[in-house]
Amino acid sequence: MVPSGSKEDRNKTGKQGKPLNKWYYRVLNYFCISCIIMFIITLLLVGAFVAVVIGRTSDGANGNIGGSLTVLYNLLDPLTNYAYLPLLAVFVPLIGGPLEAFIGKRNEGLRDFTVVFSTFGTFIIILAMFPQVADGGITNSIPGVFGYGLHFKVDMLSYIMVSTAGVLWLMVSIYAHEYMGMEHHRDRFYLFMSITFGGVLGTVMASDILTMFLFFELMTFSSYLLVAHNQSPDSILAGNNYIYMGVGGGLAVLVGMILLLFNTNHLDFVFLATELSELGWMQYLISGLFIIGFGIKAGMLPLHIWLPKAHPVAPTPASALLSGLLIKIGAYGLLRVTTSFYMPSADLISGKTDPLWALSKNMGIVVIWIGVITMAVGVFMALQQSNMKKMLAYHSISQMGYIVMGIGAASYLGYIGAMGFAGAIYHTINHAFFKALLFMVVGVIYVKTHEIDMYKLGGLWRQMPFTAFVCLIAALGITGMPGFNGFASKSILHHAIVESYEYGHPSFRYAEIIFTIVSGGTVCSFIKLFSYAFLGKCPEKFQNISKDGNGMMQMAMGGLALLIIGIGLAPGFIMDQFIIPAASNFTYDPYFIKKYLVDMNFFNQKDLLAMVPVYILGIGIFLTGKKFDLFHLHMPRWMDFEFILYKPIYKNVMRISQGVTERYETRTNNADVYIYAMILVASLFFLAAYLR
Amino acid sequence: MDDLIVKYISRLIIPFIQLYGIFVIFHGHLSPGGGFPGGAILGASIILYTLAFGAERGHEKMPHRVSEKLESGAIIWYILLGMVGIWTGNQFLTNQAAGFPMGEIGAILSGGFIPLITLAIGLKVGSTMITLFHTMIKEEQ
Amino acid sequence: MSNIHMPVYLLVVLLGTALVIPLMAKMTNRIVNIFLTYAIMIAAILSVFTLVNVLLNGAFTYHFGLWHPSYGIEFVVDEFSAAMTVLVTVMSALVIIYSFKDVEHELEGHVIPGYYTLIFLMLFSMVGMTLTNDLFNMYVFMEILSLTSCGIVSIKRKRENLMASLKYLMLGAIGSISILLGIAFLYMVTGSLNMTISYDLIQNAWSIYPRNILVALGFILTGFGIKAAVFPLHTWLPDAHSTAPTPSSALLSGLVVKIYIFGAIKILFRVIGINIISEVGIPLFITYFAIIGMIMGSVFAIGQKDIKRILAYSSVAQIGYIILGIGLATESGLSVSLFHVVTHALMKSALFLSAGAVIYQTGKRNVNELNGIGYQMPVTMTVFSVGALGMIGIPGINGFMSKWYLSFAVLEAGRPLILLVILLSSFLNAIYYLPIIINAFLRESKDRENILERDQVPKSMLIPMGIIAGLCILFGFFPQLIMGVIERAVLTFFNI
Repeated sequence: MVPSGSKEDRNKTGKQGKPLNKWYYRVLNYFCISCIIMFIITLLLVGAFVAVVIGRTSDGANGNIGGSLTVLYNLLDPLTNYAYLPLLAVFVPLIGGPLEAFIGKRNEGLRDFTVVFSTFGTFIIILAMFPQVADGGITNSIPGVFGYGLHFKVDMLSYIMVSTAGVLWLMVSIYAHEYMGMEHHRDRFYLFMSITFGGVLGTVMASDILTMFLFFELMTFSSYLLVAHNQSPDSILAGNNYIYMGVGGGLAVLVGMILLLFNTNHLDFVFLATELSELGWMQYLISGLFIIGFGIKAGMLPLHIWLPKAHPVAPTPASALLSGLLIKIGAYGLLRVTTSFYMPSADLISGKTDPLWALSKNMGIVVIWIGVITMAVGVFMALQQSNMKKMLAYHSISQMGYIVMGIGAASYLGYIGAMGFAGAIYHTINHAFFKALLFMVVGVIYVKTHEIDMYKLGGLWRQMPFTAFVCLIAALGITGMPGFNGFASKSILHHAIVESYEYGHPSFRYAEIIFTIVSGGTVCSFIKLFSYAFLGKCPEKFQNISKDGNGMMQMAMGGLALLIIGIGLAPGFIMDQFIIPAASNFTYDPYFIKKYLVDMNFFNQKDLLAMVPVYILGIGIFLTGKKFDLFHLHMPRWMDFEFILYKPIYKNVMRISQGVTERYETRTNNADVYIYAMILVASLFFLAAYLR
Repeated sequence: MDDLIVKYISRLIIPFIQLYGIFVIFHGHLSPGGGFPGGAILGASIILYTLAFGAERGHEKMPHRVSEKLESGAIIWYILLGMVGIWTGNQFLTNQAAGFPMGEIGAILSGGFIPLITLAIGLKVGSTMITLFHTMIKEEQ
Repeated sequence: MSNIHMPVYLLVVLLGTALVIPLMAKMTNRIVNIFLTYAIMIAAILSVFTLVNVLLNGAFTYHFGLWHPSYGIEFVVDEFSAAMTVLVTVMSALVIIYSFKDVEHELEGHVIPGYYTLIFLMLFSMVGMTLTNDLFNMYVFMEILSLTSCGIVSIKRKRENLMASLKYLMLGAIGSISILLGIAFLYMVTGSLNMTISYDLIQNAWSIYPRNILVALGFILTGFGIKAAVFPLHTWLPDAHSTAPTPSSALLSGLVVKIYIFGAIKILFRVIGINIISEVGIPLFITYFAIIGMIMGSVFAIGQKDIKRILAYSSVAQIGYIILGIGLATESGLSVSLFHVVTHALMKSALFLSAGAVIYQTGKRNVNELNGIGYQMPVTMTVFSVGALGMIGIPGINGFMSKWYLSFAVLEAGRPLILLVILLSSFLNAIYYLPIIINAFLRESKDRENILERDQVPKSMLIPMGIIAGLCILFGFFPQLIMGVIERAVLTFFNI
């Protein structure tokens, strides 16, 4: 295994043999300097962006600062008004990838610099898109491709996903440099990371489902190479699982798309509830196909089995991206389908009880329950894991269950589903940040100690104080502590599920109870992670792990932690500036939005108090588990989904195929001509039957 | 085959067989027959020679390089005749319109287009039969 | 350019080259290769000119010897024939350029001129069979095609080749006899061998002699079914295509089986006509065979270990797609069928040529031995991946567009359940193609490290592969380029 940080070896023999263990010598190679510069510029840009965004929409105390910055922003008009920004944003990573692979053969440092620089450039392009998007969306097209043309449209919903992707990719690129010192075939990794980035941007900016499908498949195939990067037998198996399910999901989406195009003659994301409602049972088939297709990507039960296999074997930057963003694309696809195909257009309906909402309602029930079961199973499996990455993978499944439940609530409530919509998107953003941060923390631990089993670790807060600190921030974020970002999205999702049983079917009360229990389970699981990894007694072999070589990783983690705290302290910012404009594009009751969502007070008493039982429940489960040693129990084999469903199918298919081939084909192939003659006579006989 | 009687008789009769073959080819436009049977008869004569006198002497009579050139040359001759039709402004393989003489019934040298074609076909068929036979004999050895 | 003799020049060039090669056998290989390249390039250019002529000026007929069509031979050069002739010549140009270096490894030196003679005769007969409008002439060209395609399988004098070629020859002969019998039955009813004249006569004769025409139809379909490897009658295909030398496999899988399908389409739609066929129920019947072929071809391929055999069985499945398009008996069905002919020719040639390059370089044929070969031969395996991903149906490569169009044709014809079959067969394709790509790029090979190297394969083999892969991707993004021509071609079958 290549020792971490090959730069250290080069730097150790420095100029004239001076001792080089001072930190500034390590930091001063140009990659680190450039990263630090880009990081600081990014922070400043994000700050300026926030100020400008506030300045555009409010007058008052913030207006002056915002006003002056807006003037500055207006100076950048030629950049921000460039019409082809979406296309540029998609193509910069797609071209940057091969460029990096090409440079990587010659100079590794330059290659890493190019990686960070291209993601930084894409991030600037993304920021520059905001004025046009806020005004009403940007559309681009490449005509003639595939016969229908490729169409891109960036409305506020896409913009949220795009900016999350941009920030996340930038941080992960900075992080990846030091982590990847441990892996081989680095050029290939960065190449496919960039192509995946291009694919993700293309998918979320697509304005019709065919374009989305093209980039979705591109993304699946390039992320496969990230998962199977290690080339160890486990990686290959996990990769096989991933790609076959990915191809299967893509085929499901394809068939759904073809049926949709044939029956309604529309590929683009417009409001199609009227056309769909005329189709009878076909509409449920199309919706079911889309749910299966996007659900495989999103890690919904029972199609989630690739997730816990793929995460432990992928390198940590890949896991961070996979959990942070790629599974959200599945949820994004589902959300797009819900908000366009199931939704009637605003002028055709009479309110929330209009029968055109029937499809939305029925699919909503299914999706809510799938989401709830996913949440529960995810947490339940996560509590049993000792491998940190596998635990985080199951938590991703569980949190995706939250998001899917939110989408389901939005679909079920129909006209008044804005709360579910907001919750799903908000949780997407938040989960991206804190899950990526958690994976980065685990990655740092792995780089330093080469140990991924949390029961074997302990007391690391002394060696890695900064890492422990950001891990605490991320854990508080994911569990929903007020003041961190998870609280805002979890309370909105809680409101959504409460509304579901208030305005809808009373059986969702149980869903809400499961919601609370799952949140408690999440708390317990992260207490477990933090205490086992960072607190307690430090084992012998980890007393003297090296403390250097992770400056960049810490910087990236710090950036994400700042975002978590920032969103947590001002949750209304994202809500008002991004999510509510996104929701206004769709057919949601504006009165409802105004009453419940605009200027929502997140820190109200009811929500704050609701977190208390969750935490108590979590601590309770943890103490019980530790006392009775429940964490080492595993589910019996016969309940494991994979065992009962997938393995038998796989085995049987191979068996039937081999058997049939063996028996019929090889025998007839080597037989005499008279067997052929008999086949021919049989065919002629068949045809002769028509003579009657 | 090493039989004396067979060798003697074939030496006597092969010229007549070949004459008959040439007759059938040349009278293609006048009487039944034409290129294919005529060529087959010509080929049969050489095959008879090979059977009677052995493979090496048969090979000397009609060596591979000669039959190779005959085969290709015959078809190229056929194609050229067809192209005459194009060069004179009509379609491929045109007969009267391309200026070939029509001839009178019964006269041997008057067919125009058809004897030329049958000659090509006859040579081609004959040489092909001989080549095939020689190849098969060679394989057996 | 509006010379109507271009098709004849094309045939003459191909036949002439075939005849001149034995005369040139004494010259060095290099001169012969250059001559062949020029010949096939001229042929390709002539066919492109013909196509442009037809697209601009409309279809025309060519009467050989100025004989009237009722007793002479007629060629019909319309959009369909011209487009398919372009396909044949361009694809074979690329494969022949590839073959110059490859046959030196696969065949013994003294048979190589004979090999090229056979290939050019085969091309001659393929072009002839596409262009002809006369039933018996079609039979003659079909016989030449049959014999020469057997020849290019058995030219490698190994035991398995000879056996495969013998099986192909016998089954082909049964097929040819069957077709001849069918043609004879049709002649019995109409008294004319020309296709356009027969069409009117058959429409009149249908009410008087229905049984005659039905028996003819039965024999013809069976005969073409054997030769085009429709499912139950495909048993010769895996052996023949997997043991043949690589350029032959590419030509056989990519072009030869399709020419027989063209013959079948011509007889079904131009001689007998869509009305009679739909009355009898032939399209439904064909669809059943097609569906079974699509699934079973892939099922058989999963169990194979030799890479060329996998590709051969995959051909059986893809021919199922083409037959399905014909079986829908609508305009969109036929156009997607012809589109898939073009796409499959491109993709299968890419696959066979890259598999051949792997065998040329390393001698390995078993897919389990191909670990890590993507690093040794990156360009070759990229071409293979492009072909394989196209077969699976990944957007961006032309195989996806043919599945897309096929799905729409199926829905338009009112048979939505076939969509499931297409879905299933795509997934089955993924099961046996993806492991090859994964092994090539992601597994460590036992004898060498996975460092990226350049291909050692000669450039004259790499460039045609690259061009074919590039065409796959180009038509994957802009399928209208082909579809426009094909839609015009299909109208010639329905507007008689």
